[in-house]
Amino acid sequence: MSTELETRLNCPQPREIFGHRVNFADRQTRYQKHDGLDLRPHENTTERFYSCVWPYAQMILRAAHYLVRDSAEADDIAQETMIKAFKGLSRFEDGTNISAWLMTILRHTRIDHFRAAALSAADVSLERLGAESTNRAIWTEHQDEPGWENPDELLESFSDHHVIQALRSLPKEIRWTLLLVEVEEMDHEDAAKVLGVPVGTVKSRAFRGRAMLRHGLLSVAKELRLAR
Amino acid sequence: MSTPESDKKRQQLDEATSRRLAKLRTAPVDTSGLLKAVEAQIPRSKAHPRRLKLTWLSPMRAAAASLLVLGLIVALVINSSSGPVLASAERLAHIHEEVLAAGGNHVTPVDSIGAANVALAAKWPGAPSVPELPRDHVMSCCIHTMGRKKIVCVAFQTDGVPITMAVAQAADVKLPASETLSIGGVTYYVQSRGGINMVMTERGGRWVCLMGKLPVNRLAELASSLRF
Repeated sequence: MSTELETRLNCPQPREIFGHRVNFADRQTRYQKHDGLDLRPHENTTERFYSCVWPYAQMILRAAHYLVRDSAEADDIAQETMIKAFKGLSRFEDGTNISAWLMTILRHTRIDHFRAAALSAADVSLERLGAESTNRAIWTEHQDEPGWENPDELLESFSDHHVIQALRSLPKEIRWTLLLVEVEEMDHEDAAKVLGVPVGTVKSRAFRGRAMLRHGLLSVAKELRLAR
Repeated sequence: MSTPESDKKRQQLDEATSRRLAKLRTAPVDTSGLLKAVEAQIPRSKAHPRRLKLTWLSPMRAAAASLLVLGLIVALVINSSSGPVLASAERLAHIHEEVLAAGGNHVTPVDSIGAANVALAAKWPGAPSVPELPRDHVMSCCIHTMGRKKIVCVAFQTDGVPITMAVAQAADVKLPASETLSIGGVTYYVQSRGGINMVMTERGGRWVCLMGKLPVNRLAELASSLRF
């Protein structure tokens, strides 16, 4: 019996999803093969959707709600993402990372919603807003980060609601990065593919994002008298 | 200016922030509304069982069939109400090999413990939840049997080695009279068979066993890092 391990999922590899170019061509080199696991495609798309894609519904719904304040809009985006995943399932090839693929669809669905609201895609680009430099300034200003003597203790004192609110207050690209890398614990390479940026950018955004999140939470902590 | 001390402090802050954000992933998400909306657009294919034609059954055959059904029900009740099953090394080694080979069991590919819990709950509503792992490569999950008891298994990879985590209701499993070790006040039972090491414990009403060809100390370290 082979001792090597299996790829994640036999849902095939998307080349283009609803006009958005997606390339996970190197997935199979990253995930080793295992001869034993039966990951053959299912008999039909509907069955395959409910067995391969639906287990990620929680992830998609959670992400949509963390990204969008309006609960009804978040539900719509999650639903649209799942429907698009179903429609795109027949064009798949073997060996993709299903969560990264779904997150890519979610991201584009979110952008489409912005466009539908008469905002261009550029409006959701952090770089074009000049937010990178602004955020760097915020981060630099708070490099010393006083008030974090017992970080675990202080962070645990916040409810999920507070953490989510702080996450939502971050610029979109930073929020997306933290969502993928920290909340969903996606590796940097997969997150970079979802976001369409270099791995280095993901790492620097995650680094700055964590500092910005702490800055936001510290303000809440002071209001709640949790910190000095 | 950056100093080794400030770098260390920042690293601690970052790690604490990552831990807090990762906790968001464990919050329950109600997908019932999304499921309803998605099912309205993607109806599940329903099997249409053929109606049994019983007219050909003679009274004698009907009586024999009734007795057979009654016997099966009695056997089922006796089996399901019997005591806990021993987590023997032979059984567990066999399960580990079967999980990796997917022999005879339907394996669902997943890439996170969250997705595994959703997939398992869909198949077995009473399935014990699988505790969270630190950042490891989760590959698949399945429902297995140990003796007469159902257990859930998750396959993942640590240090490049395939590991199976088996989880059951604590009341269903009898721990072996094997060597033990204690970490942080928790007792872990250790046994080996055919080069496969096993470390098991009971926590939160669940029996959990990690098994694979990793050293016992490494398995115990993994077991102690599980988040229940």
